[in-house]
Amino acid sequence: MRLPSLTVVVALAGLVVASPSSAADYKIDPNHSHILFLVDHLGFAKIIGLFTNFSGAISFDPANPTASKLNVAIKTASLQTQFPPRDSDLKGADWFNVREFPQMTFVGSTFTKKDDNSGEIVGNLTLIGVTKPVTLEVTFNKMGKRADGADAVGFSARGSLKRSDFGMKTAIPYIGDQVDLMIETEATR
Amino acid sequence: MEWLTDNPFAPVLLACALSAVVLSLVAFLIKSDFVASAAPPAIFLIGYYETYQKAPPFPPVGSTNKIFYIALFATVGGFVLDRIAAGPLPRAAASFVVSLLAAVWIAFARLDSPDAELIVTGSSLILLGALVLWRVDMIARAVEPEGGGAVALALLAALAAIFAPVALFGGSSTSVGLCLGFSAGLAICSLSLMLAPRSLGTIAVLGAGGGLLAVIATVVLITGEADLIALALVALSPLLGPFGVMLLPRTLRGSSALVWVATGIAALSPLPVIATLLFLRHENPLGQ
Repeated sequence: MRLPSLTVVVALAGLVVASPSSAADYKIDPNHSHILFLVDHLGFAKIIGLFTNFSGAISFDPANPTASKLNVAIKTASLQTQFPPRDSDLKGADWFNVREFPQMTFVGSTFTKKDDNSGEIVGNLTLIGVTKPVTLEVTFNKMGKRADGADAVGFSARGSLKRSDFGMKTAIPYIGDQVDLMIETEATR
Repeated sequence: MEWLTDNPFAPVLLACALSAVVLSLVAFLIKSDFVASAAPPAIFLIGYYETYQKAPPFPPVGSTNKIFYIALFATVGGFVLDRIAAGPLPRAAASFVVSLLAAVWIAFARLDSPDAELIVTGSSLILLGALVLWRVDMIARAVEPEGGGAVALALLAALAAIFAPVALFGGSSTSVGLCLGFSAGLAICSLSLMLAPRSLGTIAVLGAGGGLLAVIATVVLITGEADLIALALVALSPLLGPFGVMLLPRTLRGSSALVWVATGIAALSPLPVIATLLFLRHENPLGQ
């Protein structure tokens, strides 16, 4: 077998060095992350709910944010709204149906940079067996070392969806169709 | 008008009541046994559509979507049995099949790892459901005063009404509206059949009862928060109805109106106990 010439080796090494820095993989830190939703109640006020059990991974390169990756899985049974009978209702078959659909997922597919600190993620949300695209407006907050020594990156995300798109039409219009999402997350590696 | 605009149950109550009035009037005016028999399942499907605001896609994903198709399949099955003038045995078998379908298809997602609670409550639902469908179908086909459509629908209306509080405390406020609306619609049909007596075909009990069993199975087996003691009392309701007639003096049992009233009151009699039990044992969900 003929060995590659020194020229070829040097050229290949140059290509590797010249390529953009690769994205770093982070895990969502559940202790410093929150997933909230707000939904209108009879026009009086918005009910706020949150999911307390979720996990996910972010692949992020600040130099090339459009190449990012995002996968989040949320345990639907971890839903809380500060009123246990309503939680039972929301976890029941008419709403999140946690027994048949114990998990909802969000997989980011398109990442668009708006400016240095903000962008947009379009991804597929799978909820009660239905997958639909959802857009999140994302603010990149900070990247650096945390006090505990972990390399961390922090984002805030806002978005909204129509629950009827996922077949969850119960009690519309008494309980709002539009669900606003508030996500605050830190991810570490 | 605030009760209407701010009450999520108002649309389904109105839809079921109005459709019951219209269908009962049509059945009366054109003297149609078919319309009278098809009215109860039609009211259930209208109530479902109003409650969930959809006719779900097929194949259905999730138990609440399956409710619609269980009611629809049971209605079609009842229609076929009526067309071929099926005897008691096929009708009894159909009652069992519908009850089995309601419980097994609804609980399908849990069948991979069945636990003792699923086996006990699921089996009880299948057996009691089949018994109720079979017995109420027999009553619906019988002649007055002991039976007839009015008495059969009074029994189903009472069953739907007394299941409503169990659903409310069992994590399914949505089913409350469907049960109450369906109960109101059946009560109107029952009243119309009291005024113009008629026996009903199997389509009536199989379709309407099948839909109601699917709702009960969803609340009990999927939402899984139903109070099982209250549920046992609900199961007594269809048995207590005919028992109420037996308490009437013999001389009064020939009166269709009295038999109808006694059946309804007896079938509804567990309601105060159920309501008290639920308020004592659970946090009041009405504040939500």
